[in-house]
Amino acid sequence: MTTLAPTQADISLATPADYFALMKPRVMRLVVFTALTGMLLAPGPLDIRTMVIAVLAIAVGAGASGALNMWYDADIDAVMTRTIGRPIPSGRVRPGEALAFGLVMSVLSVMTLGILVNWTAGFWLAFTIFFYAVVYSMWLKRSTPQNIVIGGAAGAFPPMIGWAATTGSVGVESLVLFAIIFIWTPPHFWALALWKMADYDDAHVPMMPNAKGERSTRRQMLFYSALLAPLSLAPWALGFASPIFGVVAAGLGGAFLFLTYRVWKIAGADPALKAEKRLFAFSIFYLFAIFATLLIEALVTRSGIFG
Amino acid sequence: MVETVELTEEQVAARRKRSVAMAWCLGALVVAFFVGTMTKIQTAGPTSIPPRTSGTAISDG
Repeated sequence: MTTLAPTQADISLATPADYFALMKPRVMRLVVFTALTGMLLAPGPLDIRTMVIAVLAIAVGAGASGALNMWYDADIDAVMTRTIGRPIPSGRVRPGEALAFGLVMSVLSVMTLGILVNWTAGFWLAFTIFFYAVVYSMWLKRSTPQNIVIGGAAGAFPPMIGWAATTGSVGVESLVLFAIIFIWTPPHFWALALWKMADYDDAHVPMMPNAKGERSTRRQMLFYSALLAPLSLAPWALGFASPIFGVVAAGLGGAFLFLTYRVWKIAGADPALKAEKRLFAFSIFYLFAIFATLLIEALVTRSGIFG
Repeated sequence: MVETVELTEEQVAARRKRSVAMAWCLGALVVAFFVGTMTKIQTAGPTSIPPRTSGTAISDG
């Protein structure tokens, strides 16, 4: 009978920092921010302790889905310059460790949110993890150029989770917040994909510029940006944001549309792809600014300032 | 005799860091569940049990 005694090589060298990197902290930050906005914007009483627990659970859930994504995508991460330094391709964390970590954190975050906050929020967090890990990572990403269009829903659910954490249900207002992130995702991600085409080619990931060409991608980016500009006014039009938000959203939406127009107009004539890089950077600022404005308004309303 | 694995200094250091992080995380989970449970109890208030009425009282036999 053979024994499977561990050897020195079996003992992991992974540190907590490596596990934290598995959780995609930058994505996690955006998820927490948009979820918190949804939570504070929703009507109804909000206990600060429950809010902290909800934010932590949502952050861990988002991180867990990031770990599962890195586990599944380890093979393509290893051939892309942008992702080669991630914990699994660099050898700091083993795939099995990342999988176990992702699964345990998923269950823990959903159970915590469900038990201590409410099960509507728990359900939406579970669905978000499933959507990102299974629907996007395992299915869409490698099979269709519409991968990030449909998969973008995973990044758009957090305000709904936040809303559900406060109210126990999903209101039309949270669906509007979902729609803003959902429509924002394609021009944001394709701006990056346009200058990382070689990477995606090497990894055989059918991103829109690789699969359908740059021209078609730029046209579609313009379409989504034109859709986003009026959509971002919806919180004001529906009455859950002030006219000040309307003005901010109109300005930001106009700038977003203008920068996308330049990406479409230049059509790759600049080899440095400055317009694409500028749009990518602005798109991050755009989403942050939209949600920050909503968050500030929600805080002002809840604190009772201005009556 | 039990065979043990000789760890390198790097492996020992990494394991110690992992253990400390795990202790903090489990401690935070305990605190979260304590605070969350207390909040739920405070929010719900005292449990009210409906009074027994003669029509629904269990017969003493």
